Amino acid sequence: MSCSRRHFIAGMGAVIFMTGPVNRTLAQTMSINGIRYGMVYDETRCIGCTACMDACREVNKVPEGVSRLNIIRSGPTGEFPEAKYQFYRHSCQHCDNPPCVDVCPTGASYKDAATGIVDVNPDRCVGCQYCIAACPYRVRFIHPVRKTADKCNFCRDTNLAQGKLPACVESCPTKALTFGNLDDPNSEIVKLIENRTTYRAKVHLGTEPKMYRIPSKHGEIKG
Amino acid sequence: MGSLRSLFKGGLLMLVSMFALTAMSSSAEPVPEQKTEVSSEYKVELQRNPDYACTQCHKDAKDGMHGAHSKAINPNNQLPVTCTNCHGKITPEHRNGVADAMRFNEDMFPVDKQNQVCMTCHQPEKLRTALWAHDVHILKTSCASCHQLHPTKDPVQGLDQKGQIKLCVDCHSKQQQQYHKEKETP
Ligand code: SF4
Ligand code: SF4
Repeated sequence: MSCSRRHFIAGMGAVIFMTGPVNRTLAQTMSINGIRYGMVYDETRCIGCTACMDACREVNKVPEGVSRLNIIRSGPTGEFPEAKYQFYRHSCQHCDNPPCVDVCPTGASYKDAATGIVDVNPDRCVGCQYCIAACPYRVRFIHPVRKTADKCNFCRDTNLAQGKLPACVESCPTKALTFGNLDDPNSEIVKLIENRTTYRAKVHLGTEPKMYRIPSKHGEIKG
Repeated sequence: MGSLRSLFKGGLLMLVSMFALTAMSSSAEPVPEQKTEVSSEYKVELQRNPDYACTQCHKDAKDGMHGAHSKAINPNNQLPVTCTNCHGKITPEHRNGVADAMRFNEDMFPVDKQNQVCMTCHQPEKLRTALWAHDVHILKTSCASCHQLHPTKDPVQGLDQKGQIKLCVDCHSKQQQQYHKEKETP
């Protein structure tokens, strides 16, 4: 079989045509009432105490063995007594363009139009695990009791519903976490992102994550 | 009269039997063996308890050493740990509260001076294995702000996950409050 350069380029065109303009529904792209929740995780403030992990587990009744939120500690770098550690928040990035939602065959995974929060409706989830495979941040898991996909939803049905901040934000002793509306120019979170150097994980994938990070002063930034 | 005599007799019998009992119980106890020192020709024997002078004043339950260090061997000289091993020597002004003997978890001595004492025996690698957080606190806060050595049990030893987190949270939230207060009051 011969695969000429001409055929190859023509084929590429077809691929670009098919993947390029993704059909987006209104609900997926725009926020109503201008609320688009996001979070800033300040690696320079985090002390790795894992109080946030504990609070999340408690408030959202996450069973042992799985977790919606992990603080990953790396290091130490440098010599005692100047040894340094780095911390990384591993949890749903609440992508504006979430691949987990795109692949869900039942519509159980969705982005809430009113808040921009990516959530799972356990009643519709059939446990096929497509979303787990599709999520480039590897933050989804099957809830061992409900047998449906689960992950961080910014405490949408728990703390947020009661008018409180997400459990992790509330419990953090060093105020390393800032939660707020990215579409409100006067919000604390927007000011923080404007004034500090931030990065987001794997932006090159086009997922548009809404989890911003203020990089640690030590070591490499591994976005 | 007859009854008195029998009472006397009975008392005597009781006394005798009691004596016999105590004698039996004491003979049942294992006799502590006399320890014979093997090959220590020039072994220096301490003539008196090196802690004697200190414990004349610091003798109550709070000041006494009841924790693990009461049985610890100082790795630097292979002798039991004494008061002065950690607290150093005192001066004639000691009773007036001058900064002579090392006081742990008190502002009188800088953190590095306090922790240097602990680090003469405790090695960084072991501390790191026990808890990574040792690494990041060693220059910032005194060991004694978390550990208590004198009581029988160091309260942070054997803390569960929740207890450990609470320790971090309590201290660091206080630190935050202080920081904000300082920022507000110029
Ligand atoms: S981080 Fe993963 S689970 Fe969260 S929105 Fe993005 S793709 Fe979905
Ligand atoms: S509670 Fe705050 S400081 Fe502690 S691990 Fe979580 S983000 Fe870091």
